[in-house]
Amino acid sequence: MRATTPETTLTPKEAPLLDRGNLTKAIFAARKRFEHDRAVDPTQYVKLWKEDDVSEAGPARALTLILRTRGCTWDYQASCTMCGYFVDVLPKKLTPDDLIAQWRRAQREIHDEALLKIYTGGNFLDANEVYPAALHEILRSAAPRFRKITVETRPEYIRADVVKPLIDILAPHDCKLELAIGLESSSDEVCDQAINKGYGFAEFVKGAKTAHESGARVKAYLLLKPPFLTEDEAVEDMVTSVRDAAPHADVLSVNPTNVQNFTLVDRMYRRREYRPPWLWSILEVLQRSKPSAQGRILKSDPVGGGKNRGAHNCGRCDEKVLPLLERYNATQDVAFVEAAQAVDCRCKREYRAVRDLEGFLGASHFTG
Amino acid sequence: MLDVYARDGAGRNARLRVGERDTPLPGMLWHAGRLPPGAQGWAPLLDTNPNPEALVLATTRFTEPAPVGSSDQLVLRRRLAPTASMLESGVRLDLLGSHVAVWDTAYDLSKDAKPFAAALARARREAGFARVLYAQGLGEPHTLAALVYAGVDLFDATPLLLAAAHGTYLTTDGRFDAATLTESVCACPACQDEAPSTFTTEEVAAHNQYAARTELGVVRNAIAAGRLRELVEARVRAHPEQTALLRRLDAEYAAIEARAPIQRASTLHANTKESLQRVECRRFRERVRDRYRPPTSPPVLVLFPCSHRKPYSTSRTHRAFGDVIWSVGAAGLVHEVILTSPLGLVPRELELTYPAAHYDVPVTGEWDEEEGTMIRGLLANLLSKRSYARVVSHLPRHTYDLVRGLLPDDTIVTCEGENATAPEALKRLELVLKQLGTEHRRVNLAQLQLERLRAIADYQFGPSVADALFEGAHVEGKWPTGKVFAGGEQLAMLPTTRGLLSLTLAGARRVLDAGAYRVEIDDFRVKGGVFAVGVKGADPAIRPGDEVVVHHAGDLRAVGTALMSGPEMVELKRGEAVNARHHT
Repeated sequence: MRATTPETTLTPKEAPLLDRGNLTKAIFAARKRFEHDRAVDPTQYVKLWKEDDVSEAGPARALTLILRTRGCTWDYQASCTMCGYFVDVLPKKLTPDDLIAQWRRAQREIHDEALLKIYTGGNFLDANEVYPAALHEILRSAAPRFRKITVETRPEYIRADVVKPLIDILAPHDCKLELAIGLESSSDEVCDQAINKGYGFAEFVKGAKTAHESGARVKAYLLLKPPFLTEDEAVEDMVTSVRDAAPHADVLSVNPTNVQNFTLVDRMYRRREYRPPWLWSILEVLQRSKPSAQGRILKSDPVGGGKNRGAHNCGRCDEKVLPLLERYNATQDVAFVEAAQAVDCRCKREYRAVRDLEGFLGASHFTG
Repeated sequence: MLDVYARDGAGRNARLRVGERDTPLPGMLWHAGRLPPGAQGWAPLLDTNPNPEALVLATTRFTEPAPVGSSDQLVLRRRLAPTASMLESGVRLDLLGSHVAVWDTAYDLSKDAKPFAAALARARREAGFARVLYAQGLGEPHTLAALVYAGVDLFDATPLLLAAAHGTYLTTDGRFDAATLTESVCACPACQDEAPSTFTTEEVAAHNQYAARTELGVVRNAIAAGRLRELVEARVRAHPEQTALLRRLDAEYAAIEARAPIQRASTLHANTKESLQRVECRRFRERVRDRYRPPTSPPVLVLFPCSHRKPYSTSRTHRAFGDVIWSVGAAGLVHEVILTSPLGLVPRELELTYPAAHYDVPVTGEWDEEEGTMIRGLLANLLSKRSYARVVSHLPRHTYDLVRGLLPDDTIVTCEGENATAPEALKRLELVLKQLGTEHRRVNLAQLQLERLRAIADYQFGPSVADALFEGAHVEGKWPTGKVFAGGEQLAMLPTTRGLLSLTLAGARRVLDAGAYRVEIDDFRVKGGVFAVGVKGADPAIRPGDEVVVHHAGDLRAVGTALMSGPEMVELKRGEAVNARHHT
């Protein structure tokens, strides 16, 4: 605790540190320059791509679809420090038919993928964002084509009366529903003071429990290196978070923070106050966390890996490390992680120093 | 406990006592490793502390509880906090005990000179005088002098160790890739005259720490000798970012001026473009502009060039000018003003005053544009303060050309070429002054002496105090000394060594009543020194070296020389605030 003395004449601190209002203010200040393109076609989805993925049954092809919606309700209220998905939303009334029309267009791209992931930049189970009529229609027509459908949602939208009807739609086709929840960290301090997440570990656990009881599977997204944490703290936070989240999730995905435009992280990055995590950190988290994942899928697919705005090393070794990480993700064989860790590069020395010393550089105070 | 014992710029030499340990300031915190011992993932790069007597630093992760540090360790407890760019001023200070202000956004701010200079000024001001300002994450050797000059008291070894991990070998000349240094450049215990290109990370780290420790010693010596600014001007050449920082710091004039002594024991070397803007020079120019009033009686203004030797009067050139003036009996006729850089304009009566008698400048016989603007501005200001019956320019040609546009049309030019001591120039000066002596009334020398001493009082205390001090006064003695009397009582004297007036108790009473340069103390009798602990209030205009009057509730107790600035003697609890010359 801060050692203050009564005779201090220091001027008052700039607002109480890290209160919600302050962080929210900073997040919205960072996106001042952004303006939505309101002329976007409401029947056109944002993006669609296919990739290799892994499911409980082993490697599989996956189709990922980003739908355009009105966006995340939390983003209107407070928003998170690293989230830049608001750039792809359409901040006006969309009809259920618009969403269904987007899905129809996407449907044409389905080939023989076993896994479907639908994201919205918001919450698939938020009835104000993805209307139940559209939600049910999409799942009805997707169910026969896929083995598993993954959608993302904040835990407050996971209610039995919402999830059970979805299971009822999918189950006859032997299609599983996976609810992805952005837990980010099992530390409430990190969620609150570094991310502005608006919920904590208890809410995640409750949402995961409801999901499981309703017959859905749970995927936990964890955020490696939110702003304000040192590299070292970020690694430790992830190792702890995987351990804490594993009992409540079927899949654990460690997502290294990438710098998305118009976010607070972006602003800090441009002022040289933030660096995305090193690939070495991802490897360490996976290697140390594998046992505590208790056989669940534990993966990390760095967005923008090897680039300045994504997780990266020095630029010399990234291209050697990343393919090994991909192999690990597909096979879940930790030997690939260890092989990546064995890649020799002189940046390891710099990385070690960052781990050891970064905590001395700021945002600290003295005791003793 | 904090004892401050020398000041220069906004820097100071001091001693910080934590537990049983004394840390000399400006100083550095060395790394101890993370506490509690055995915590995972931490091993100091260097397990031998280059200064075993010094305080050491340790840290926790923000998730860890604060461990109990030993008496010689300062333990950082990390927390999640907004970065510099998220704060309005960028500056955030935390207190350690009552003596250390930890500035934990210093590292982020140091990346850009402009906001950094403003932040340095703000951090120093907010930390006050009674606290050590610790700039967390800063301490590379080539930056130390400038940061100390800006007021930072304490650094840490983190940047030295980080640099080592990048293979960066640090010296006071900047950052070097150790791999490229195939010749030995240092004889510190880590280097032992080996070439850095062969070094391990640990050896580079050891050298970097020795280099920083050595430079801190150099900085402390410079403060003690009153030569910090000269050191800073030399050091900032290591990198443009450092030079930019110094220029930005000079723009934060008020913050540094408030702490800078009124005079220093050493010669002021004006070697660089930045010298023109240093506190001592700018303060002199501003006081000449804002406080100083020229003598009113001498009818003729004579402009002279400066001389290498100081005070000017002792130089061969100015002795030649003086001889001419005396030989024609023109001493009561002329007001002598010297044009120069970096001070602009030095009236003869201020030639003993710091830094007029104490500067040295590379003489090339050319003025650059900035110097020209400054000299012209001050001369125009002087000419606006009073009118002269005639102006005589005994300036070398290039200086005269610089200012001729400001001078009246009937200005007499006595020096045609570049050499003001050429026999024909001196002869012409003699003839002109002799002629002017027949046209204009000389003032008697006692009156001139009075006006000269009053002009010094203007410079020293400001015009209103000077008027109060000189009301009904007369002077005795011959320039460059003098004593001020009124009603049979001595008020002040001018010691040649100081160039500022020293007050007697009678003079002090007048200054006290005029309401300036006052130090208020608790109700006690002053014997020798007045200690900061007894000071209740002080004029914020007081600078170390100023003549001050000490009183309790308006009752004069002593007069003497301030050893601290006004706010400093109020805030500090230890140390001598005023060296009393006379007491009641």
